[in-house]
Amino acid sequence: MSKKSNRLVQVTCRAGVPATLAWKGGRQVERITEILDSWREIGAWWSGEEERQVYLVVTASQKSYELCHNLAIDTWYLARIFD
Amino acid sequence: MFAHLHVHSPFSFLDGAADFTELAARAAESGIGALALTDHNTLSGAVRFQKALLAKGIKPIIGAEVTLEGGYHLVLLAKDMSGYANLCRLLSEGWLETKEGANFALSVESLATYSQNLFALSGCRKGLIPSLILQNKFQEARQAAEQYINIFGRENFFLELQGNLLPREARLNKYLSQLASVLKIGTVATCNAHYARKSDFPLHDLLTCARTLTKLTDLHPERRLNAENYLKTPWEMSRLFKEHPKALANTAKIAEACSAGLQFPANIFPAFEAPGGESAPSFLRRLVYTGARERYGQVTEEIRERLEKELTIINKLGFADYFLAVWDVARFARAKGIHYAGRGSAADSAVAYCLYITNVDAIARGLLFERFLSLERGEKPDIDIDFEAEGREKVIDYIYRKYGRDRVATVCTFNTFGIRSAIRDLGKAMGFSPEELDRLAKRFPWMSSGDPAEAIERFPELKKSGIPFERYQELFKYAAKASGFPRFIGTHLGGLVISAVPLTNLTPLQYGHKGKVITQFDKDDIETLGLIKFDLLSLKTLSVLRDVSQTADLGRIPADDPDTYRLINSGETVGVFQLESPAQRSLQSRLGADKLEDLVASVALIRPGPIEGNMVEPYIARKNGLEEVFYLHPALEKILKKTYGVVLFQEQVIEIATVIAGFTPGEADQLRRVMTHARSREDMQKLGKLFVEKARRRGVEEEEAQTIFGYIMGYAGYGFCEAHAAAFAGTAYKTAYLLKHYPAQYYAALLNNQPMGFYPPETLCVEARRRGITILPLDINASQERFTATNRSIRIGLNQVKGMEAKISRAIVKARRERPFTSLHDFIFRVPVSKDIAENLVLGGAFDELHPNRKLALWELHKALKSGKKLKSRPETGPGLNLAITAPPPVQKDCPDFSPWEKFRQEHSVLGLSAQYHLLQFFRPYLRDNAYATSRDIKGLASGTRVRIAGKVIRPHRPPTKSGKTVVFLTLEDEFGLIDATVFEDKYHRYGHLIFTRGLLGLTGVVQRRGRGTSLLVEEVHELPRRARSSSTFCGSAASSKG
Repeated sequence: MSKKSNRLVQVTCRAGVPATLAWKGGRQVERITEILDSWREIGAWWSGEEERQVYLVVTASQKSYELCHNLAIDTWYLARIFD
Repeated sequence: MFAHLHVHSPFSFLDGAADFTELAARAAESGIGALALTDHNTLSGAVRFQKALLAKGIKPIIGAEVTLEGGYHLVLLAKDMSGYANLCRLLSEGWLETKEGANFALSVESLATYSQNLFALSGCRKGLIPSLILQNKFQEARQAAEQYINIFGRENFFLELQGNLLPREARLNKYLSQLASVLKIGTVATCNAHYARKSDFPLHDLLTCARTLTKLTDLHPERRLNAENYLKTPWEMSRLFKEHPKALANTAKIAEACSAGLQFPANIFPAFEAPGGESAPSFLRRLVYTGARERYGQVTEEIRERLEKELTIINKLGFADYFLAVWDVARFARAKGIHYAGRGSAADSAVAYCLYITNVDAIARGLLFERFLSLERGEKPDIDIDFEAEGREKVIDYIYRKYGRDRVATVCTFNTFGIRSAIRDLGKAMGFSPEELDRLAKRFPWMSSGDPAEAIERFPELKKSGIPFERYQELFKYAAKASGFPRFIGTHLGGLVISAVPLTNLTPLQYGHKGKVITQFDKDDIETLGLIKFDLLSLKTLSVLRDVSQTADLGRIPADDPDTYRLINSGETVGVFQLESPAQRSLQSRLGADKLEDLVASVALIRPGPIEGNMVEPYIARKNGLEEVFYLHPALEKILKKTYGVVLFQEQVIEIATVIAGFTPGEADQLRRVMTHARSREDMQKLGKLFVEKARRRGVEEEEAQTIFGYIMGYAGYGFCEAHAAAFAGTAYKTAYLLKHYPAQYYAALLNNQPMGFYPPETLCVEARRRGITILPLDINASQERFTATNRSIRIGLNQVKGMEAKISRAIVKARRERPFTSLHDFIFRVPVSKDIAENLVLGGAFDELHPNRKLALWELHKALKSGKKLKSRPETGPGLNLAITAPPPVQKDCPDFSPWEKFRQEHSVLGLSAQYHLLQFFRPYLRDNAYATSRDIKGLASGTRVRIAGKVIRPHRPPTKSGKTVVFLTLEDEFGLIDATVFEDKYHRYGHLIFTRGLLGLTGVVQRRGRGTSLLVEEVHELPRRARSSSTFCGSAASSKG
């Protein structure tokens, strides 16, 4: 099961890939232990949607998230949370 | 070196968004050493791809991404010409074996048969192996790979790792790489490029939507998830495949193992089997001299010399077989009584004349053979023959039978995006409604390609249309980018290739229109393959000649009939081949043509070049002795005498260069080509220098030589092929003769062969009426299947009725032969006709003699249809029973008939014309009250008279002009005839939006009389008010509106 989300998050990268994930103003931080998959999406380009890099990650707490990196404005958001 | 080995072009038909120039430019700037073209199941782009890449110094590799049974993809690359031939055979097998309506699919057996000298790559995610891995079917994936290894060999089969940043890509590439290690085969890195740059993605997405008939907002598996299918740089590829260095290195290995593009033999024309084993050159010579004796009576030394010269060149170039094949086609046509006429530069050949391929006496006309063929140029001959439409099919059938179905095919064409189609297809994908797009697209003038935004700036009828163009800015941007991209493959109207070897060695074949087998290369590219194209075209004018030949003996048309020239001089040549446009009619009314030579010049004069080059006026003035004819050099007199000192024909340029500067014929033709195709200034200067040098050596003063060169340079770019003009002029004269002496039969033939010519059927009827010919209405008891003529009348034919089927019109005529129809009931019972056709017959007036009230007739019809059904279902009745006796009498109702306006509209709708009415008759009371002149009145007015006139707008067009300004020419038609009108640029900017969008207009202007012609110089354009039309009253009938 998964839940859709659109929450902005802070992500730090190491060697070009996400290493930590933080939200709630940095009060909650999760270490990313595994990147299961990664791909790029163009979205609805005709309505101004920007290109994003998507990562399917597993954190140290064994939770899975779908993280999106908006490449044009360099912001990260949580797209999906997996149970 | 890095090579991209999986690249799609627009020839993947709506699955490629960058043309070859862009792909080559992108490859060159990125340092990509080689590109492989891998369009879906086609090699159509191969020749252009190769040219574009070689021009940029990039190695072209020819391949295709083929679809296998089950829909799986596989990339195949030709190592050499042998591999290329196998690729052609595979694709042909896939296309020709695929059942109608099914998708292209190749069997594994076919792959195995034609696998030699091909590299195979496992393909994209639609490839069998990747798709099995993505389904975690690893064992099956391995088996599939082993099967491919068995087919292609271990060193020729590669697993394709793609770098498109798609989900599960890293995992897929890892497994593919492991499988490659296990099986000891190579991997290769690609990015499955479908466009050159990332910024091309939106267009590709739109094209995908157009291909899948979806909108941008719809989901479809064919739509790409991201914009990563661009031609990535070697650096980008090395980053993406840093874990697979061998896959990168293998791209270069494969590219090096492939030869650079295609190298075809120069000539693959079949040897002609001459009788008794005679050699082709010998048999050709024999035929030519036999023909020469028939054509000339006596073969003089001059004729012999000319024929020998031509035969020597033909034989040296190895084209004797080709000439014999064309001779054979012409011979077949003659034997079968099929009307034909050779045209184009082939008419420069006396050999072609003696072989009865053309009807232009090249020797008598002094035409230069070098314009057609020369040793220096060594190009393939291009002989075009026009045939009457029906006969052409018989000729083609003969060719297929003679050379074999595997060696003959029709050349393909590519339907490309023009402004209108791009707006329609891409706009639909963007979510605009089809109705809105239709309205928008129709407002654009037809342009084969271009930028809609530029068209809006250029054409006032668009600028002032009131269309909110800002709403379509995005659409226009993408439409401009797609402009010129091929949309689908089509069938050429006349181009046929014949090969000495099976065509599938050279080109993939597939089915085209009406089941014809077509090549995957078009007429421009097919010659690169070593094939020679025959152009066997259908010319409706020849069908017209055939029709009139039932009445007139075409073989006895006199050469210089004064009455025919009087007709031509009147400028009233609507319907005459090549001489009917307003510009031609205007020229004829001033030129005073009195011999065929004048018609040859006329055909060449009314062309964009001579008009822009201001050649028309000097020509008319010199012909009529109003301007002195002078020659810059005495030697020019012989060459330019027939065109009064004007350089009009390309042959004249060649001759001047030969006579004045001693150019070899080939050099002279090179000069003609450079001039005709407006090549670089540098080329022109080089040739100019050579011309002056050579002329000086022959004793011509330098200044004089420079002047002569400047002179031919000024005209030559506009020159027309004299041989072609002469071939057309002969047909033009014949049609003018028939119009003069057999006007009813000639117009009936024109009406029977529509669509053709410059004017629609209704205009032809107006012209016929003006000449005193009565257009008789459709009549169920009198009309034949086609239009029929007596000396002074033309009867509308049954085939003219909308929806009419040939078998129905035939059945009507057959039933009537037994006895005339006595009523609608009788008709319905005796002819198996649909309700729609029967209604159209009623509305077209076919039953007026039996049922004068059409409204009641429709009522009767429905009753008859009902009772007809009942009667036919009863076994004791059937066709042959005289139903008229048993049919109930018509119900006499107090029901008024349709009004004349309604009848006119209905006749127009179902017949496309009306025997009884003309649109302007319904406006005449208003026009008369408001002092509008008629076309007939204007012809009697003095030059300079200001008038108002109204009429139907016929064929407004903007030909190029000498000044470069836009001038619109149009013809206004009323019930009395036609009047040509000219609209200059300032007025066009003001009224263009009316001229090009309204069918009926009022014009105010000044009468101009030039020669025997009358026209109107337009000052103002207006619409007629709504109240101008009277629905109940109208003025006379079209039948009485004779001139």
